[in-house]
Amino acid sequence: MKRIEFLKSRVLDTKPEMDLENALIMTKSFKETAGEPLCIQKAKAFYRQCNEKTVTIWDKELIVGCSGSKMRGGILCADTCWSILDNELDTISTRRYDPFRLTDEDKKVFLAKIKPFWQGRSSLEAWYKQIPEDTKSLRDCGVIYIDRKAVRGFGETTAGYSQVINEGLLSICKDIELRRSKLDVTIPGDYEKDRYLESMLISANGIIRLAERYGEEAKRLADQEQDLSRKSELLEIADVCSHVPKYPARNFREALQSLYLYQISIFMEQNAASYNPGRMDQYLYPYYKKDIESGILTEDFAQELLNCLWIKFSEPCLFQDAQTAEFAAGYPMFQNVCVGGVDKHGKDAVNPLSFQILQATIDTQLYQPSLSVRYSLAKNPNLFLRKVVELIKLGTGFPAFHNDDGGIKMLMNKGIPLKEALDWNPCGCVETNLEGKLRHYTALADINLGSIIEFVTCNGKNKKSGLTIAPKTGDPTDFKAFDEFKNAVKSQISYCIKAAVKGSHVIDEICLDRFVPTLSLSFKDCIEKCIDYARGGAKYNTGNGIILIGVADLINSISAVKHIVFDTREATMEELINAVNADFVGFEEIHKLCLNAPKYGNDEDITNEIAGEFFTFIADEVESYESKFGRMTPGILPVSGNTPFGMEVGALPSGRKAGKPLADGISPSGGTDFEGAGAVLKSAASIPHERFVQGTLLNMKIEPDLLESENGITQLMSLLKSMCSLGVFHVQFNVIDRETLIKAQENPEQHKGLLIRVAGYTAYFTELGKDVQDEIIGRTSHSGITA
Amino acid sequence: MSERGTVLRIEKTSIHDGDGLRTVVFLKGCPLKCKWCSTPESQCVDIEHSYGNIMTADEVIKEISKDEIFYFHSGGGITISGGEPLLQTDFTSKILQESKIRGINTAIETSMFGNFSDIKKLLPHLDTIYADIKHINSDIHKEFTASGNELILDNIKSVSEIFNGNIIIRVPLIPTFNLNIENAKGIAKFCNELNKISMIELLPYHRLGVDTYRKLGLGYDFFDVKTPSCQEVEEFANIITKSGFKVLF
Repeated sequence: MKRIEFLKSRVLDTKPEMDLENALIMTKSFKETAGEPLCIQKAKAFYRQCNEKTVTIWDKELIVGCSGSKMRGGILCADTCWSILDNELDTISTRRYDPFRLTDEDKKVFLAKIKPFWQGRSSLEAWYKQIPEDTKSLRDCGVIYIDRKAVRGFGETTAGYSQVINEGLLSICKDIELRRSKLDVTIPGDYEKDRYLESMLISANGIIRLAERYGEEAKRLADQEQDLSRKSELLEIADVCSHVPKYPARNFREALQSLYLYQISIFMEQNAASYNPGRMDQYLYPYYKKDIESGILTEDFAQELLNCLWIKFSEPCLFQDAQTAEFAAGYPMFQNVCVGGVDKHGKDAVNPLSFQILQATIDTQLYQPSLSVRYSLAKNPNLFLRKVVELIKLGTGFPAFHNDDGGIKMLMNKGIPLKEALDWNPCGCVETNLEGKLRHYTALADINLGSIIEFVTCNGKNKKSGLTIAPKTGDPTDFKAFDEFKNAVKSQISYCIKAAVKGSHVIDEICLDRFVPTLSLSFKDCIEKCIDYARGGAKYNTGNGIILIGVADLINSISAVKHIVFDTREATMEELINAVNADFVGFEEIHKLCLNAPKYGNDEDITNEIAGEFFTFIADEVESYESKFGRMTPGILPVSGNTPFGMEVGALPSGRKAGKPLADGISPSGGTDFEGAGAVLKSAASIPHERFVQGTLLNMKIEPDLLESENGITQLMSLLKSMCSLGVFHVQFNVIDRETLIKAQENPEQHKGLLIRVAGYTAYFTELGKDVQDEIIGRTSHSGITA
Repeated sequence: MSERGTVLRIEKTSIHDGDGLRTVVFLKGCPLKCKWCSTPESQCVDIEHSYGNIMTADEVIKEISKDEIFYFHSGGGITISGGEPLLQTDFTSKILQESKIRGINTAIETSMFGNFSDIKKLLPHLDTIYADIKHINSDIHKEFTASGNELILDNIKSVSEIFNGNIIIRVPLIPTFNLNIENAKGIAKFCNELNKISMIELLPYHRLGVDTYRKLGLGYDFFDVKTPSCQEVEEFANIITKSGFKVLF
């Protein structure tokens, strides 16, 4: 563990910096290859990066590789988005979310060499020119966020890692050559295919060259190394890198190295979040099992190798613009690794490696990889679930716990047959994916559901800007019945979805030119069809994801209108709207009515019915649109977008004040759920999860008593099983630790539902006196994660 | 017509009052006046200071049924607590009966300070009884709860002769009142004679209720009493364990 501690603190002590080396090499290459087909230009630039980039092996590491020249570098993909750095040259080092240190020297290089070449050629510029007018006005008012795919690469994919590991790149090259041999360039279209296959071969050779260079560097270091044990480690690295990923991995260690070299290659090709290694406990298990059985690998060494890899996953930093960083803060790489679930026969897939992978996250406690669990209620053993709970107890927020049946159904709803859907894997945050077979883009656009309510109460006007940018759904004070209000909400939702879809189609067109041959070469169908991943070469393609943010705010606002205006008639619509327009200042009585109206998260009929009706409607609306890549797909997963969206929205009938964050994912609004974990799960179950095929995200707090005793652990396991039976797709837990309680003490409004339970007695923490609160804080433990 | 009762609150997915994940229905009204009581708002059977709701048994059952999935996976169920459920026997009985029909595990938590005939009505619908023994000495019992313990001990004895389910004895551990070796020995001896007690659970005094006294403007003798130390609780537990009981605390 000494090595791991050393490697870990080195990552944590390294501040993220901009890394322009790759962009410079790419620029040089593009100048030289001008006139060649774009895919070839792209592949040659990649090869040259592999051949020329700085290759560093850091002290004590066993798994090697880095996409750039710096350990924690932000890579600029000039062809996608050079202009971001241009706009942020003077602020990127100090911006609030995800700063990158940029040296004066690099600034000069950027302005002198990178910018002049790429001006007018990036996806982002094309998008700014082509964005539809209505989409633009919604975007500019914070009603939708839709720039994400134009400011970085695609990501959101699970490459064919197992193919690279098992077959090796030379074998893939042979497949490409074979396919190429069947082309006849006199047939229209075949020349294009020929050039495309050539670009794949160039890319594959780039990766092979990169691995060789790591091998050479290891050899060079070994020759000068005085310490004998490090010397032999370096020689081992040299041997491994001279073999993989060119050839099939011969053992577990080579499989890990092969995986990581491919991982840095696809990240180098396109800076993007969410390149997901997926089901590592499945595709690596044959290597693990063979090595353990033959005695060349011990469990301890397997653990050390996994831990080393985990630290490598924590090194790279996603580069994105300041606004996108606000929506997904924390240099979020989202390299999602998954364990558990069922195998292709539908049987329990948990194996000893699943446990060791969970242990790697327990040992390293870093923010990457994003560790996910597929839990099959019917098939996975309790011992596995218990290990999951042990990890939950650490309070790192990992793992993301997924209901296996839900993931399978989501994939089927994307049009993938059950036979293959059984092999699904979580992607990025809570999305669903399929290794080496599926092209999708999760979060093309986020829609602000708070703004939707505001459009209804303001009859199409955006309050902050004062502009009327949505349909006039009528003066709400004229609404005679609740149905009229509901219909107005639905019209506004339909309008925003339509605008997002229009934008999505434009981005699809722009991104057709973002070739990714390095990624595509591990998608068998891309080779067979001679079509790039970006152009629909994968076996399955789906339309982009439309993401909804502010679920609880929407439900609670509709519920408040129903309860206050139409059911109890405690206030008129006019009074309610006046209060909301004044941010409740001077309308304290009405504010109280709003706060006391039924709230999502307490398992009540009124809110559960609204949730079911509206989220079925939203899924229907999104799915009513087709795209070049298939049917559009809905999802609910704000990474951190609920905060910036909240700033754009005035007060809401739910009682939420202007500018405050919206609720995250499908979680209840802060301080509005009072009935404990079961009621939150029951409420969440009223949303039709499986229709939101891009995933749904539930954050839950765990009460301290569930973690303190053996019985608590057992009951947490029962809660997780219940969650699966209820059809809730995903949950991740925040442990209520000392820091949470201190926050609750300082800011009771946001933590009203926080329960403290002992036998025969339960109290809401915020209602206890300070002396008793302090006593509880004193006996509650710390927890946390290091990013 | 559905039975009506006064409910203090309904607590969901609790892990403390019985097996598994439970819905705990706290009823209002208690015949004892325990000086350390952590729930003074439960003592009066009527709604006061806006504590409590009148509910029909059907309404309570509806709330209980919402959590059937959690009972299923955890081996949980419902626990009726108080206050004192025996003050609302018909209401309690109806809820228990309806729960059993739905296959839900049932328990009550009672002081056993009530008519045996009332207790008897509940037994057919019960899987587990949590019965309190607060002090084995009747005089001290009376000093701290306003009643002697004879009725309580008699009822526990009678129930143990005819009840087929589990009986778990609960002892609140209250410094200055019952946290001493003689009391531990006395309770162990009493339980040994019954030959029916599956477990003894110790509930150390806690201060979570002190603010309710402040809010209600009530006097409280225990404002300055501290939670018992681990060592004190363990000493008490050891004596009971030595008498052959499984002890939970």
